[in-house]
Amino acid sequence: MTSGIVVRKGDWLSATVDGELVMMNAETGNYITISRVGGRIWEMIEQSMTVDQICSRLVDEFDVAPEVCRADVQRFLDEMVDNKAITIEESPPE
Amino acid sequence: MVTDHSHLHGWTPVAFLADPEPRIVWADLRGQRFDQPFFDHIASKRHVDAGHLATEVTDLSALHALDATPSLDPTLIVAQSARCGSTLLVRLLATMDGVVTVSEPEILSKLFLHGLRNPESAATHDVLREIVRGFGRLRFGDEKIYVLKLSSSMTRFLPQFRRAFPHSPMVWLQRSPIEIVESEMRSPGAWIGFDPQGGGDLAALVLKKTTVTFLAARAHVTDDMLVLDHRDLPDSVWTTLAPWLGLSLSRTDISRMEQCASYDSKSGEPFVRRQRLAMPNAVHDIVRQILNPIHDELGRRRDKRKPLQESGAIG
Repeated sequence: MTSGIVVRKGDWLSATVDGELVMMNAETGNYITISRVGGRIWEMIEQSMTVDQICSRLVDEFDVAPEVCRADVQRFLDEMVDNKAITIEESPPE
Repeated sequence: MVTDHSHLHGWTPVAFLADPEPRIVWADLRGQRFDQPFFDHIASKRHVDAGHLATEVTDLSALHALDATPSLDPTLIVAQSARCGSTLLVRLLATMDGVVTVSEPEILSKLFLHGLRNPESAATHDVLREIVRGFGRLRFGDEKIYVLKLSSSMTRFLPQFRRAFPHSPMVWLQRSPIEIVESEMRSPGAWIGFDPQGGGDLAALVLKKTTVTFLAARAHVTDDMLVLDHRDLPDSVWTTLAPWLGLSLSRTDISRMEQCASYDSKSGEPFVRRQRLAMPNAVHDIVRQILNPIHDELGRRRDKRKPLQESGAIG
């Protein structure tokens, strides 16, 4: 869902340790550790953002080919959905 | 068809199996006092002493069926940061007559790991309550006080324990974060999950796990909990914790605790002075920026505590 809107979900506490973001869900107790790039995505989606917008920003900020970036972002977002940290909603029709 | 579980009266739930469906392993620990530093050593000790350990596996309905057996709810739940003297605290309380102590039972970790896969399940709440009460069975008839000590990884689930036992007072025991990290790096506990052959970064792993614990503590250590610090042990057990719980200690009780405290709480040997590890600056930086503020904020509550009776937490 490349044009989906990524929205944070749940009450997460976090801290950056050794370059990685340690996150704990205050409601369920689940915790995950995400990489520096994942941490940057988490920071970006503090305000809801489409998948396209996330990829576009990362390509600007990091030395990565657009198609590699998209595949990595999709994989990351899928894991975050599995961990109930985000939802991806359909964009409203224009 | 209703299964009769009456033959399991007096048995203890010792393990949780998640697959293919949730089940409980019961062990016959009748006649065995719960007096080991860690609960899971009790079954091992029984196995060694008796030459065998009788066990039976049931579905979860046995927990509910046996819950009507006379049992104690926890008189005190101890939550802790790791490497903070919690084993000592529990051993001191265990010197009093009528005290049952259950420390860091692995069955609870397995329950929550399974429960995370089904976070909406109300059954996890019921199962938690029935397992914890399973440890608190009146097996000898002289049990009056039941102390449940949680592992530091259970700090994330304090709300679930609070919902299961709303009338059980909780204490948070912590220690200076740099001392916790130094202790874990000197001898990593199994919960850290460090594989010496795996080539990983022990410091990073310890820092991450400790960070999760303190993040959880910041979220879940509430104002009605007593906060104690490692540096105040052992005296705070009889000067602060016992009065807070409304326990009246005799001079003999305190002498017994002082005697017990003169030994290392895990091995029973007299305290051995250990060499401290030097920590890299990067570790100190993370401790200072992330962990110390949480530790200090929780520590400020040490001076604001009210006796349980005054706070209305117990009748």
